Amino acid sequence: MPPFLELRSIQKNFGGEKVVRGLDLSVEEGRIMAILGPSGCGKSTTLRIIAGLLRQDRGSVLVSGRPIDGLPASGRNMGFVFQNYSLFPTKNVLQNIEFGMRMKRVPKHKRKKRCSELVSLVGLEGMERKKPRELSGGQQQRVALARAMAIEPRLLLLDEPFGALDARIRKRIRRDLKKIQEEMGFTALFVTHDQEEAFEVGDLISVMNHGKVEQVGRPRDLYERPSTDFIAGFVGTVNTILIPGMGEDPPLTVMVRPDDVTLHRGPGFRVKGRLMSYTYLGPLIEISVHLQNGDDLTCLMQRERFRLCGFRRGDTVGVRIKRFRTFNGEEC
Amino acid sequence: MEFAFGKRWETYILVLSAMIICMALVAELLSGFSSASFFSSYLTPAAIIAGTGVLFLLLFVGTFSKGSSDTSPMARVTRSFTISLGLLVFAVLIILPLTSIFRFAFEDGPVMFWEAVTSEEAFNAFQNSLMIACICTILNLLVGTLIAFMLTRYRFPGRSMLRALIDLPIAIPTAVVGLSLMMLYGPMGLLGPLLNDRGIQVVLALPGVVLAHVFVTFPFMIRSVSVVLEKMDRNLEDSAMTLGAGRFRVFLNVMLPSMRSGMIAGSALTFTRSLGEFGATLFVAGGVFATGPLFIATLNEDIQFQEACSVSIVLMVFPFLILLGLNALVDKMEGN
Repeated sequence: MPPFLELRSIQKNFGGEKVVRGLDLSVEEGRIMAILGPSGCGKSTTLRIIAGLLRQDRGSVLVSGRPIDGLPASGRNMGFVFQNYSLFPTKNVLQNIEFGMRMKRVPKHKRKKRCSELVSLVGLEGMERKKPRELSGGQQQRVALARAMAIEPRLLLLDEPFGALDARIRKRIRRDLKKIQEEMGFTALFVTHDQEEAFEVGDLISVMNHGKVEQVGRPRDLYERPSTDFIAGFVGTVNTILIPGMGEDPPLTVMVRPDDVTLHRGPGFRVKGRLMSYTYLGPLIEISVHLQNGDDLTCLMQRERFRLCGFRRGDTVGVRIKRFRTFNGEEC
Repeated sequence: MEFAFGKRWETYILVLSAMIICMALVAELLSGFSSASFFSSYLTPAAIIAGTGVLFLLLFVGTFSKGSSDTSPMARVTRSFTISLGLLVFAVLIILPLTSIFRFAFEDGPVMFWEAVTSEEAFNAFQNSLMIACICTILNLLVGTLIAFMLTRYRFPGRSMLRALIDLPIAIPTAVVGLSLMMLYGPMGLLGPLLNDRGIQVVLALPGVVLAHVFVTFPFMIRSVSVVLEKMDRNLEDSAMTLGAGRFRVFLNVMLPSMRSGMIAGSALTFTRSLGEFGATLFVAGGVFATGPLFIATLNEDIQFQEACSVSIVLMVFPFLILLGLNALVDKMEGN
């Protein structure tokens, strides 16, 4: 059975600059896929190509095995949520949500019924007659979501949907989106540069860099088994440490995750360092250690253990590295 | 292009009316003693300067204690000085001439005023002016919106030059506009005789006047609509398309409602400008066709000052009310 959505070697140039270069991707039905990547990696362009808002130079977009390249955006039945919401400013909440159904000539009584369902689904009861500019950012985002879902899209595309919201509301809306998706069972593809967001909302994450997908996987795969150095560095924090060569070997540069390092008190540790500073992150504490060989190391520690060990700034600590990776992909 | 008046239009109309009434009272007082001897003996340059000084002082004192948030006395003096100077200049340059019109329009009582503005000729002139202004506004709505759309949405060679040239009609003297239309469509013009042979009369008739007015008002609609289009979020169109709207319905359902406020603003400017157009109309109407302003000029030449002033008041107040009304409409649409 062909995948629900498939992109085959998509290419897109903007004035000679290759923005998307031979991108392949497939999404299964009923899942949320996150496209994670740094800004300028071509992730938004890819989303617009899927929606039919941009035309690719090469390659093909297929839905259930059939190419849809000939279809205009208005014929693709894909909901799109923009980062700046892009609600129709002269229309009220209800009219915004209703718009797509009006375009599809859904009869009035059905429109009304579905509108009120959606309004309560996104929790905007009582706001139906308000104009977009009278709503907060979070509320506008909910309207945008309801508007995109109103057309019963085969695919929901979200372009940095939480980017313009402040941290607390962002978290709540993220959870709401996930909940709504689980209830309704639609397929969604969303673009973000925020790793935490991708991990929380996405069932699968595809990491993009320089116009290509570098790896597709579950959050755990990406964190524990990154396929490229870029992913190891982009997903989560990473330390790079120079290990002096043994005998004939040249010195080796390795990558260490902050949570793969433990700090200890007392003598008997081969690697030592000076505790430079620490920051409370809530349950965890981020500690910066200056190693004897001159490298800086960031590591994470439980708040409780940190307190029990009684570490202070300037202390000499023993460092044990539980796991590290070499730059050619070996794990030790 | 912004509206001629700010958001709090009720305040403006109140202040303006108050100023007109005050100045009219002053004019009435002066003319109450209006024997020639009074004017010649008392309205000396010294008296005018003294009167202006008193007015300035009154304004200064009036604004000194009201609504100042400055604590330093010097700052308050500077503030009141600036405000009263501004108000004085406005009163002398704008309000004073207008009050004299009121003064002479009602010289022989309200009945004569009414008769002057309801005479058959006056009625005819108003009718012509209104009709021309309406046609001109509708034409500009169609053409101006199209050009604004073209200029903001498409990139083509010569676009930046065209944008710069859009304002040309504002810079050209209206007499030149009138003359150039005559040189094209007139009896001696390039195309005039040719069209005349086929029974088409452009100048010295309604079409010529409309052409002149469209020429003069051309930039207003384009600029008003362009501003709105440039501010418009391009994603709105994309949103509508993903929601199943084709190109035409995107325009009809999404762009047009957003352009509405610009179109209304442009219409207001076009309409009022057309009602007041004089220079170009004088050439192309050629005495055959009377618009409001042309009628005022005729009355003035015939030394019928009371009638001229009465007609002027109608032509002054009517566009003012239209501007205010449309301004309020735009405010309401934008929910301010």
